[in-house]
Amino acid sequence: MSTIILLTLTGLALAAMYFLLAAGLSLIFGLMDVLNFAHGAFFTWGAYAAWWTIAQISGEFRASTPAFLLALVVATIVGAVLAAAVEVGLLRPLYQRPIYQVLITLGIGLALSQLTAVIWRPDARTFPQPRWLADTSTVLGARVPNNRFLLILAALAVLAGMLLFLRKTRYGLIVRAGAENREMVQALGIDVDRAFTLVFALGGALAGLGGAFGAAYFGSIDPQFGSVNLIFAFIVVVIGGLGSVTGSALAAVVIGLAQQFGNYYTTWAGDFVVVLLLAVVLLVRPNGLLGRLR
Amino acid sequence: MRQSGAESLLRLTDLHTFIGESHILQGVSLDVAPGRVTVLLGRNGAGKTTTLRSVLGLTPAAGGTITFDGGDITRERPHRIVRRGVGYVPEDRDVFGGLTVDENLRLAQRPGTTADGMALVHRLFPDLERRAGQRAGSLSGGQQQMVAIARALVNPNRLLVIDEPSKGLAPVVVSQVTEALAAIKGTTTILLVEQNLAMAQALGDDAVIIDNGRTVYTGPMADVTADEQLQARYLGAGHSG
Amino acid sequence: MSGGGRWRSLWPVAVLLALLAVPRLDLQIPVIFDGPLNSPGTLQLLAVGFALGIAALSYNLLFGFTGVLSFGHALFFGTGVYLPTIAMRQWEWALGPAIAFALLGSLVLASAVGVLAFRTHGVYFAMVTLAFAQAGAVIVGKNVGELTGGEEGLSLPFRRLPKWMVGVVNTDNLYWLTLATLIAVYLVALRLVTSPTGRVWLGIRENERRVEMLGLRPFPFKLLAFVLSGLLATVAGIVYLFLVGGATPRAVSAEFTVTLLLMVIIGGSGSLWGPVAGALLYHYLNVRLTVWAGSDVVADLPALLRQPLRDPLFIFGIIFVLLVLFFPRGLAGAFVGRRLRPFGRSLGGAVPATPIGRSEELDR
Ligand SMILES: Nc1ncnc2c1ncn2[C@@H]1O[C@H](COP(=O)(O)OP(=O)(O)OP(=O)(O)O)[C@@H](O)[C@H]1O
Ligand SMILES: [Mg+2]
Repeated sequence: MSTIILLTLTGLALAAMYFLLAAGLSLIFGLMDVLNFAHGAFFTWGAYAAWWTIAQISGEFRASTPAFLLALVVATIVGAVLAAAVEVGLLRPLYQRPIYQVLITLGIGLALSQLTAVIWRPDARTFPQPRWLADTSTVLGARVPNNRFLLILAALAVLAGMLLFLRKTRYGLIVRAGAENREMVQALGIDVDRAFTLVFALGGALAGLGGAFGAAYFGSIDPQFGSVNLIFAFIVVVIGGLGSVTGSALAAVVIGLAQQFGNYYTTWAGDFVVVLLLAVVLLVRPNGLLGRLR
Repeated sequence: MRQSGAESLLRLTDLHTFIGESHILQGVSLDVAPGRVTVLLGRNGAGKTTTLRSVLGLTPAAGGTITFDGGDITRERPHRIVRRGVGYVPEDRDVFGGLTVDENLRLAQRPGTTADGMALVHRLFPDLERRAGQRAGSLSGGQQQMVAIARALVNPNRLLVIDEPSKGLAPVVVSQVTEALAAIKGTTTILLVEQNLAMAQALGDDAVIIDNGRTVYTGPMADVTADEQLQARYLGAGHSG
Repeated sequence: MSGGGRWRSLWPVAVLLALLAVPRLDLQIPVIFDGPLNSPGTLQLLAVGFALGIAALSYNLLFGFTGVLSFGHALFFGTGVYLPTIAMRQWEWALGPAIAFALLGSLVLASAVGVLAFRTHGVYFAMVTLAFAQAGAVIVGKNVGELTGGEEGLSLPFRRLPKWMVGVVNTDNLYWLTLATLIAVYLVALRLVTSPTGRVWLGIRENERRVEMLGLRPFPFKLLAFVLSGLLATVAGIVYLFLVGGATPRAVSAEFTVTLLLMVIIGGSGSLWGPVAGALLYHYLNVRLTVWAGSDVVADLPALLRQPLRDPLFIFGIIFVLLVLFFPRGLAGAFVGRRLRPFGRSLGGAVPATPIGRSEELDR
């Protein structure tokens, strides 16, 4: 029983991390049709920015609570700024050429991720976190690290925030309409480029935050940190339906749980089940769980 | 063949436009006089939609000039052109199916515009007010067309560019739409593409005919109605009425 | 262009003869190569470049000639690397059956993945193929069934290979084998892209909808492109395996597919030989950058320059971005210029900047 509880909570925390990565990806794809391979680099940079902040404030091996909280903020900002810079500087010239956009995000992702190896070290390093966060709480006999709870709460807050943003704000309206028909949004006198930058920055912010939380979840970071998780985030996005935030949340839960439970039985079953799930979903619903037909 | 320039709100001069590698518009010239309804005619594939899209900047012209109210808008981006006071009703309506009727209209409302537009829309299309909370995708074709027109009317536009509002609609609905457009005729300038000659006749003051991407006729709408030879030559099949 | 025609057709033959002669040329080319041309080190460097060239060429059949962006190509290259190794080491098969097994396995795998993945389009397709390749990478990396050797990989049992393929002294044989395979694959690919099927592929690349309007179902053509390019990638994997003598998980990784894409972009997606040239250049730089990074010259540089130079991946990332922005048609585009139809212009649907009426003359 306690194993099941532990696996469930850990799986949900993993789901939360995937969601933070996938939500931005999904929005970016929904609005701009860009498969953003640089997203993993934003995630990696979020992790490194958080680590760096903590190292500056409370040293490389311990983290005080304020240092950790500040690290979350810095990671979010770094993710947003990087993403906005990439969108304005590099993607904008390529709007007419979707394949080249994918390619350039690949190159950016490669260079940006590797830049962390250039600046710091290519090998993995441990990510310090406040004691209370690394400690465990006992839930129905299962000893669950506290950072799992924090991660789940953060993802829930982000989900609620995004739904509010999409449903209640004018920019949310623009994003939803743009995901359906970008050209028509322009033809209503709306500067779609501004919405693009905003969505990219938002996605980058979430990825940065996800990176910081992911670092706490795994306890260590390395330059490939983002690209490994990016693949699973892609799967989440496809299963959830491109452009659907709720779909991403749902799919993230499915994937996170499947992976945790699968990997408990053998080292590879979890990852494998995830791909199997993807195949099944594609056969039954090619547009994902909550995706609309395009 | 051309009217004097002082009187035109929108003027296209020798427009050339490509779609991909194909040279679609090969010299379209036309003037839209202020306060009047100019109907753009031509057979299927003549380039009517492409002309309108070039005006809006959605398929930018590669050669020639477009001036709106004396300003050159040939290379301007679509949202800037629209903000100068151009309302666009596209050929396939393109309402946002996942958004409600109200959201469609609010999205179209440019910041700083008054509530008059919304009142006008509700007066012309009372149906839309009743269905404000309904998803636009679940509306009938006619209702979607009304949403599309309404989106262009919520702002105080100086020019309406409307592409085949009768397309795919039942006769009853066509006359409803015609009535609504007739109601605003005179209050704004309209550039209308319409294959339905009855509707074109009812609304149009001036006519421009294009064929194979070139302007081939400019004159009063009434003359087109009267000249069956002209119709046979340039409009051919696909025209009713 | 009248006199140039003959030269243009003689060029490839000259290059080919030179390449064939390399193992017998005792030439020093300072700076470019460490040893003489016919030294095992240089031959190995070139031969691995050829093997990667086959892989890049196969990838470009799909990407450049059909307009399909797959991120799962490493799966098929990896099939060529892993299946023969597993068959020979774990099940003690002979070389011939092991190769046949790999080709058959690739055929089945590519068909299955293709049928599933082509239920989607465009970017969706890219993600789905990525996911399948990831499944392959998991199987290999986590050593499922104790077959693959996990992260360590698996070495080829040399006693199962004919003598002429084994050992440093026989590098020239492997060089020729790889070169011959490259030529064969090139000719097959040439035949394919100039066939009626190849023209449909180009049509799909230009505008899939239009192909449908002509009454053709794009799916079987796309599937054929996918399966054939997967099969040729497996061939590349097999010769690569002979050259490096074993299988490592890198061959199935998503990064490997990205590497292939980079080779294609460097070389240019509009031609068959472009990606081969791109692969050679990529492999050469990858090896040499690592050597240079360890050299005294680099060690003396200030840290700000030294650090990035030590990281080939970082450099390739930057090269990638610059190429996409400024030379989207790669080497082939730079050399052959307008004669080839660029990939980007057709997909984007952007307005060509040529003045009206002059476009015809310019192309001639
Ligand atoms: N995406 C495209 N690619 C290539 N050619 C196109 C494309 N869209 C339109 N065309 C061609 O451009 C020409 C003009 O099309 P356009 O839609 O402007 O005609 P139209 O006069 O509006 O016709 P209709 O009465 O059918 O609406 C047509 O011959 C059409 O085949
Ligand atoms: Mg039309």
